Amino acid sequence: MGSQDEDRFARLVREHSSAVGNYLRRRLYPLTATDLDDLVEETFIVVWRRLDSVPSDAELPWMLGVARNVLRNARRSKNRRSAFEATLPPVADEASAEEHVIADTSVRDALAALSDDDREVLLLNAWDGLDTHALGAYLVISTNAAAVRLSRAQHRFRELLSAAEVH
Amino acid sequence: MSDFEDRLATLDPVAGTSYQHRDLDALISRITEQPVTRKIGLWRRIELKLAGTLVTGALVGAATVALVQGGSSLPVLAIQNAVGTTAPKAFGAAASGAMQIYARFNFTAGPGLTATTPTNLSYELQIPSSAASEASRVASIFGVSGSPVNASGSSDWLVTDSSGATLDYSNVGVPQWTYTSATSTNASSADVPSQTTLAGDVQSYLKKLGYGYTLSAPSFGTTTSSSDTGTSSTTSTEDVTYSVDVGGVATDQSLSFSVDANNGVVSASGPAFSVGTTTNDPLQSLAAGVSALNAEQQSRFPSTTPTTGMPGSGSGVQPGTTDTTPTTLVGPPVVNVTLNADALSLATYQLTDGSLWLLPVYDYTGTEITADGSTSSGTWNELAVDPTYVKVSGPASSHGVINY
Repeated sequence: MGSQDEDRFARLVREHSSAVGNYLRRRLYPLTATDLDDLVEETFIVVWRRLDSVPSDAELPWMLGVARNVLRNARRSKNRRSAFEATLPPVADEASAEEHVIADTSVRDALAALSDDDREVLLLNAWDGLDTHALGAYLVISTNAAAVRLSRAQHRFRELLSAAEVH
Repeated sequence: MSDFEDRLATLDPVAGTSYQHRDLDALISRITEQPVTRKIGLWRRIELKLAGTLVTGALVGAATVALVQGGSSLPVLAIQNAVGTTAPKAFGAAASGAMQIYARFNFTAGPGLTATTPTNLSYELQIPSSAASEASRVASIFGVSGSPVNASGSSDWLVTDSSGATLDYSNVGVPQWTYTSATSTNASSADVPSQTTLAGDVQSYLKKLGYGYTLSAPSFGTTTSSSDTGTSSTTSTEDVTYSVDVGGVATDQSLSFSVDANNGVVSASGPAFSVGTTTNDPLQSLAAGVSALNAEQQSRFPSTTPTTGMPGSGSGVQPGTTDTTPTTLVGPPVVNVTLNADALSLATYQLTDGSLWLLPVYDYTGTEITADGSTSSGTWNELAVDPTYVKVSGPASSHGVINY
């Protein structure tokens, strides 16, 4: 690959590595800083290999899609190793970020009650900052359909939150 | 930002601790110097230390299940793990109202949970054999004319007409169709159709769709949104979400419709399946199901010493910092739950032969009691099929799963 590719790749890394790392960290538990760096690097290896496929108008959601696949591979690796892992002494992992954010039990319960679909769309928007265009690119659906899914998820979440706070 | 968005943002696990790679220059150099085809195994540590996943479609673990002595009329049920928007539920997975946080639940059966062992029907789902054809058929019902396009080799088929209306057909697990109109009528919330009108609309479309399932437990609402273009346009829709029922029993599937002030369908979504084979499966008792939930917790945390209290009480080390504290064995906190109420519903499971089934599950409702004395309610699922008819093999648990 030429220097133009390398320049673009370097820009993608510098502009989006934080977002990719945050995306991964939100969805894995527990995770050391070294492991997180490895996951981010694995994601950008795929980005490098498929640089021509990265859409210029949806770079971040495309890379988050790669990160999603990296997560799936990690889970499969974890499953393959689970029997072996059970024989090892426990490792003192870093505390999960989730441990610090459970105070709002009503929101937690409302999130728990959402479908996987709704929760994914809601959190991609609220936490990862994807707007409806980016959501559409990430989910490989139209922007219009993404807007509907987001609106529906937000509506259901509000309903569940209201119900949780009645009790 | 609305109140609920503020509260969601507060829950962001990485809020205030945004990730920064320790050496981006080195990362860029390492990657760009590699031949494109080079494969690097970066999982050497992660394979051993990943202890769970969360948030998006996380499943507790793979479990293979087979009916072993159910008689000749019962099929062999070998349930496979899956990831996707309609992924089957895992055994003992926390369901609505309760997040399966990094905690060990200690379940107690309340006095209302009986020891009787009934039976209940299970249903094999018939999925449309051609996703493209079904996408076209559903699209035509909603007036979307066009050819289905398989987007980027994904499992989604998209039909788009000249107006911009779309029918998205997701062929993962139980297929889901989503219709989206191109426009909606500007109107205030006072102008939307009544709930009765909307319910009639839904039944009309349900008949055209012809899947044969029924609907129950409607949840109505009105949504008003303003354009973000600076104009004064406001649109309102009357919305409804139903539980999809089979044999009069609620399932984990749902169907939603939204109509605008002209009673035009703005959006709709639902599952694409009909019911095929049925079997009458023996069930374990409600009390035995609680024991099964506890057994699953035991298998999930076999080698740790639980602490008492809610997560968040322990010290934590943020990414990029060094943990200088002595290594100690700290297990998940214990959360005590008394289960008092129950319901039977049908949940989707995919078997290893690829077939999809709706199997009876117990939906328990209980109260969590945390170390600080606070309480909150939640529900938990457990497969209701009698475990003496079920053989479980394969990895069945994982540590520290957060499933919310």
